[in-house]
Amino acid sequence: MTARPTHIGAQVARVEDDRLLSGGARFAADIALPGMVEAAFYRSPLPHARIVGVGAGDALEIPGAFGPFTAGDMTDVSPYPDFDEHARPVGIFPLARERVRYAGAPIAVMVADDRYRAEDACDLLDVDLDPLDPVVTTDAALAPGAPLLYPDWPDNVVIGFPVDNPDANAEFDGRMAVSGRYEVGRHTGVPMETRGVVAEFREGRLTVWSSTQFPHIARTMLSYCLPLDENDIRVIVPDVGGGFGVKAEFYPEEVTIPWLALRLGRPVRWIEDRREHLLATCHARDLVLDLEAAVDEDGRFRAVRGMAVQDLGAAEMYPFGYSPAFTAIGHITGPYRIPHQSVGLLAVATNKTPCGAYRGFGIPEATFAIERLMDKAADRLGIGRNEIRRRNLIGQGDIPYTTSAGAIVDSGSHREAFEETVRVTAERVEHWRAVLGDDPGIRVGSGVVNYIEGVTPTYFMTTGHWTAYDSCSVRVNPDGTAVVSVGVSTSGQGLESMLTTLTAEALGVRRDQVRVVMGDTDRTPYGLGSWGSRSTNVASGALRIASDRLLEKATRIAAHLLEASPEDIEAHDGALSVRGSPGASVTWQQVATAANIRTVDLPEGVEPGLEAAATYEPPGIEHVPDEYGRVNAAATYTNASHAAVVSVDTGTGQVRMLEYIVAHDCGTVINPQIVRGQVVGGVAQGIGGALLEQLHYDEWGNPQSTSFLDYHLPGATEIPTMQVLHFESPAPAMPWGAKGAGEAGIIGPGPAIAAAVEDALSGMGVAEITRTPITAPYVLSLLPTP
Amino acid sequence: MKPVPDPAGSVAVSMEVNGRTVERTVNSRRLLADLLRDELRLTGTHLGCEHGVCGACTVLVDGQPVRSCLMLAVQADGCEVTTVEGITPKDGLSPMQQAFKDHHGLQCGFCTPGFLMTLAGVEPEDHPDEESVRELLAGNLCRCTGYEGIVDAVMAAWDRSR
Amino acid sequence: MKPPPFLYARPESLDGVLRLLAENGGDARVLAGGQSLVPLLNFRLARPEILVDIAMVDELSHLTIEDGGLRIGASVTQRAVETSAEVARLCPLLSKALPLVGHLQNRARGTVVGSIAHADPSAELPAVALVLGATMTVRSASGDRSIPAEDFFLGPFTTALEPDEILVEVRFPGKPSARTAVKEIAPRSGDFAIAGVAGRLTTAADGAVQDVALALFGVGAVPQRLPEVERLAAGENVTPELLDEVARITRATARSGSEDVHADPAYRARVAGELVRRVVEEMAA
Repeated sequence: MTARPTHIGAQVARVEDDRLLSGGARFAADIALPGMVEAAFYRSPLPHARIVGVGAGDALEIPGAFGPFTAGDMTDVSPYPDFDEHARPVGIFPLARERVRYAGAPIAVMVADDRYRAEDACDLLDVDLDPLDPVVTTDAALAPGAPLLYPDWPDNVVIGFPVDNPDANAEFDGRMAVSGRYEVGRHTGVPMETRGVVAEFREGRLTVWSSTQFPHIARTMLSYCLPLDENDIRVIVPDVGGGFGVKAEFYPEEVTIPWLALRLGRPVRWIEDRREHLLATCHARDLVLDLEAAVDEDGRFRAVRGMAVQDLGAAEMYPFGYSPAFTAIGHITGPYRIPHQSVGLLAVATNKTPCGAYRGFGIPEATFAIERLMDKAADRLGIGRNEIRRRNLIGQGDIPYTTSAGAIVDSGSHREAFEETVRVTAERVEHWRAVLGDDPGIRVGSGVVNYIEGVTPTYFMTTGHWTAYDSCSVRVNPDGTAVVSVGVSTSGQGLESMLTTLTAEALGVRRDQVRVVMGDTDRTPYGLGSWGSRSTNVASGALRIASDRLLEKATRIAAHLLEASPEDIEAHDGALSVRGSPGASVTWQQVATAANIRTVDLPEGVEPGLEAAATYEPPGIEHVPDEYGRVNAAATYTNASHAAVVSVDTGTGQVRMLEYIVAHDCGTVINPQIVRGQVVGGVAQGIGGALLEQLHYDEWGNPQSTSFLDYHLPGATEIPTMQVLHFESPAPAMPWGAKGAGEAGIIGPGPAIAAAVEDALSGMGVAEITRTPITAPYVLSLLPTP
Repeated sequence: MKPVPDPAGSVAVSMEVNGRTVERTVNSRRLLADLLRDELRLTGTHLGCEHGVCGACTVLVDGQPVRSCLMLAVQADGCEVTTVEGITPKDGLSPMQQAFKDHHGLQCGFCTPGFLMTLAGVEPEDHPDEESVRELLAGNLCRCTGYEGIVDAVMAAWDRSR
Repeated sequence: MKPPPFLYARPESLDGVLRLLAENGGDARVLAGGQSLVPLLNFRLARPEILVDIAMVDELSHLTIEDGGLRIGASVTQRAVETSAEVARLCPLLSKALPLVGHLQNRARGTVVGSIAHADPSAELPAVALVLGATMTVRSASGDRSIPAEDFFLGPFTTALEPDEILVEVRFPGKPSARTAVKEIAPRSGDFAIAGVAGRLTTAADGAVQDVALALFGVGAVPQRLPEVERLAAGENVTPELLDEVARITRATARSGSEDVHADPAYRARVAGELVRRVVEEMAA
């Protein structure tokens, strides 16, 4: 086809915005059904206890209250299947059976006419818990004779994956070894909208509205747990106020609320409050990486080895919280030519909220460790911190490059992005030193880091169950408008706009002629949902195939109507035309009318209808690792270089973000504004995790960060101006060359800020920064006392 | 305003919501946010924390931006209340809403009505530069945008160059 | 996170308020702006039988000047005080501290008097009251009493108020000629302080410190004056050596009991010294 104007790379308004700006969106909490009751959970106040009994107490004196419902009432409910044969079976049940393993675990549920009364009723329940010794740290969990969270297990290890790679070990002979212990603290996604579930059982069918990132998976899981066929269940995703991975878990409330709807015969709504959210929505990170590198005298890394130990919390989370730790190991060498690795994993159960998915998914942890180690090696060798990276980075000549973890880096701008970041950062540091130069107590510093991120990964290794594909169906209505339905679903990142643009591109129709349908299991083809920076890849891949099929048929019909040859037909501007003959043209409306209604107009051999469906799994993904854990688990790899410019107040330890610089490459950019928004938003979340956010526990396992007074999200005053430098290395195997931008921004801030703070304090005898968050008290503790 | 001399579990209230008189008998403990959302079905006002930190529930009461999660519905008796539905033109978007759209000042949109209501209740001249705009916005949390698009939108809507 | 049930009353007179407080004692809570109380209700950490809303009481809505000082009634919002030119002239420290109190949306409803009566150890206004020598006017059905700020704060969220009493107003003596400053360390803009200091200072004609008052907040259980530091600085010229000594004595004498997830007592004491140094330096400049 000849070149025509393209939508790809154009800055166009999002189709979602008008309803979100005007109050017209519908989130889970906005759903109200006739006869609906509201639920409130009684959650364990103790981190570890045996459930002796749950009595109604005075709860039923609350007008309209029903309950309490407990695990004992759920005789028709099955626990989640344990799919991963390598991990200890957890057998997650929606309400706690016999034992609670974290403060916040749901024990019972009450319903009433509104949430106020449901909470009143919960307050009056008579719950008898027998406290058990809590296990609060991984060290305590692994100690001989430690109390067991799961009495059937021999210890508290959920999964162990020891690795002892002789090729890596050999590299340490006669070389300098640099080592450190790097800890990324417990924090999590914290979307502004909490979770919510509304369920209705009518005429033998269950409809569930859930703020999930994977409606089809949720329906399948519901069919495992409830006595219903998948046919009898419809899962609808309303507008979702941010997911960031924490809504890509299948939660106990997503079974309990539908079960209540079945049991009561009335619609039931449960909207998580913020306190519940900080207790019961998955936590994340909480990973310690012991890492050692064998380094040549010129700074070249030859191997890394070590161990990742993750505090998984109570482990009652599916998909499992150790998945990010495996991803961390898969990214431990970053974009550096490090030929060998030998990094194992130990994921340990403790009496804390279970860990799960959060944007970045292990890669921030890996990047923190390897980048900190690279800084340390540079300092030790007296090589500049930028220079040592220059000597280790993958260059164009190395591509395709297979990392020691088995990742096949098929494209990228690793050195180019890095050099540009270094150049810009130097200018900005000079600027800020000039601005702030007068005050000797305020010191400016910067740090540059690099990473790669595997996008569109398989989830098979750790879910034990699902892989990497997704699906799309495209239909053209008789009036020429197009409906595209997909298995992915949005949680606010702009997928409707992305699919609108790509459908318009593929069919040559206007964007306002495209309607996207997602997040409804009755109206979309089966798919695995939105997580892992995959939606653009998998949905666009399936769309490409489906739209090509549809276009082929439309072309044959148009050719017939125009008495032309199909090879001469091209689609653009809402019409199918004979190339070179502007007058010879039929509209999509004419073609679709012939296909759908006036089928007498169809050419011989062409069946009625104008619809095509396809699935797509990117090529080259491996679902099972080898004995050293090597696997190409992702479809492609983005790259980026990040730099933080900070000032440090040496009297108080306060770190102020002055500026942040990102050179980012996610392949073909479909909508530059959306990509920039993803990058900047990800960086902001990363800054939160690097400086502010931490889910604290006391020494007895009691959660200490249960409100926004104690869990601090960054505000407009904490996030600096950012410079985003775009590089575009299209993914060779992807239909549009796009790679996925959802998670990348969050990966860099931890190590970049740590390096910048160290740089600011250079010459003051400050020890290495080895953990996040880098709070003011932490920084001040590194400085000499006055 | 009607006096309520004796303690009551339910209170008759009358207020102007988005220019319309609303009379209801509300339980004394019902939060203004819940009155707006559940009884008046003005669901553009969102609850993000219910303890006055996140700002998603911001509405105007007598022209001032306040947390509707920290205000009892009875406290709004006799007041003028404005929600995001009330600042949205019948057709299209307000200049600030349009600026948010133009500058990608929203992603999931859950926090957005709160930001818009804070901005609807202040005088631009009280927030003359980017630093003071960021300080103003510090009472509303956004988890998606990193605030860049929001700050850009405000600066553009208020005719500031950056 | 919805409030528990309670009764609600909105008397039109102060007598009506006092009657309800007398009848209900510790089971009643006064509702002013609600910015501290309603979160406690939503978390169900407070379960009063009855809320007594003072919004309709005209006698509590005054922001007036008397004898060169300010009288701030119990229902006057923080925003009204923050934006008052008279307040900025008479009590500039109050005007400087108010922008640090929560966010704009909280200050539109929250009251100055309510914040002082709530006595959060991390709050700015109790320390300002202490530094400015404010007087609390307290009333119950059985009469009035005045409590100096230094006797008012007894512990975290605990004051000299009896259950049947209401803090009807706070009187701030006008200090238009004093130099003042307030600084705090908070994790983010608008957060409660990990540590903070409010100060006022007058200088003699030769530039030496004549009179200085300093109060820490966020550091210990109550806002605290720093008498040793104040004595040391009085009559002295502000030199780097004096500032070092001021910081050292603050670190040594601050009652730094507060420990939470954000900072331990040692950090609080250390930055208290640094903040006092900066406040004194700024005021003397």
